[in-house]
Amino acid sequence: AKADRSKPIEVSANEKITDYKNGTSVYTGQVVIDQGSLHATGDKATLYVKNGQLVRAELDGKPATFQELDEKNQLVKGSATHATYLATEQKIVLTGNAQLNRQGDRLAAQRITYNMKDEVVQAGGPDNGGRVHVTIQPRNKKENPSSTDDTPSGNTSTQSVKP
Amino acid sequence: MPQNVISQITLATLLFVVLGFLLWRNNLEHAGPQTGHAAETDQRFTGFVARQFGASGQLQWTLHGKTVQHDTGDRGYAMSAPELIVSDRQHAGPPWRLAAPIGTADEALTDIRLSGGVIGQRAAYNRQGPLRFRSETLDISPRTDTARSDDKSRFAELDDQGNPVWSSDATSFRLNYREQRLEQSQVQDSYRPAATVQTPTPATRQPDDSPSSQDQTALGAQP
Repeated sequence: AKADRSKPIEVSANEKITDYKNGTSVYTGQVVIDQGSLHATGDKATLYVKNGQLVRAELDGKPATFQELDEKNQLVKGSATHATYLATEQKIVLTGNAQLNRQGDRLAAQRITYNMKDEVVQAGGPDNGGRVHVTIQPRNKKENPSSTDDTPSGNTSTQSVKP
Repeated sequence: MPQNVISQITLATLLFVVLGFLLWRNNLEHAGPQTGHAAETDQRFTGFVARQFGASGQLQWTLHGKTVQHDTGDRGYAMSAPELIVSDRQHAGPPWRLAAPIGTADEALTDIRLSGGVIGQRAAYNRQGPLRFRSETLDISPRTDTARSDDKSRFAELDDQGNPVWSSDATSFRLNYREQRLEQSQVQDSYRPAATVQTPTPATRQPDDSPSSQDQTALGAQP
């Protein structure tokens, strides 16, 4: 959520090596990154800092994960073998068996870009973005009385979206 | 009991006592005094300054403090209120100033230990704000441009108001300032978000040599 961006970024890990020549810090071992409701984990993270501010974080894991509350206070969860967090653009790019989940809806592709500022998701695409698999949970009748969908609640319909 | 048996027992006892006495005295002579040769202070300076220059004459570090004493038997030096000033020879940046209540150094000044609560600081430089360092002890090897601590430590960069832009706590670290490389263990870092950070402009800053109370507050939390 937007409110998270004004919170400090906390990073913890077992080990850290800072190379002042190229301005990078490599954290390894149970890496955890928190900023407000944003919570990311991985085995290794490389942080790029400029003028004392975090510009970009590259997170690797088996998988690397993140979760955050969106503006409607709904939990958005993502995972992939690699995640790139772009602090100034407020984007997370998931690559490698990427998944994004929210309220039971699920998106899977080789690359997913989640724009945290306006909550837009871009998945798949050329240069190995791969096919996109979307699973949208049927909304309950109460939520959508007008819906004509007869799919009994609890079943999921998988739609493949051509990149 | 017959007379001659009694006399034999008496004689044996007498011999035993004499032998025991001789042994005890012999042991006493060899023991000699237990205490070794006590260390004595053979040199003592007040208000000392020591400087190390490189092969081409550039200043590498300066060590000054209230008192330094040297003990006989090449036991090295003990200092009170030492401050080590390490020049940034690579970037001509401001030096690191490392101060502590007490310090020791080996005979050849290759290893200097500061302890009792070490406070380090470096003035703002090159779009980076003042840096602060804090740890219980610090071992410095000036010849190899390395420093290390196995105590909790905190590094921080401050903004114009003396508040941390970022801070880095660890349970131990190894610093090679020639290679510009810092290795830390069990790290807990905090970066302030971009929106609230004003990048300090060194030109507007007065090089701050003494740790102002604000700086202490910035590092107030004992790491």
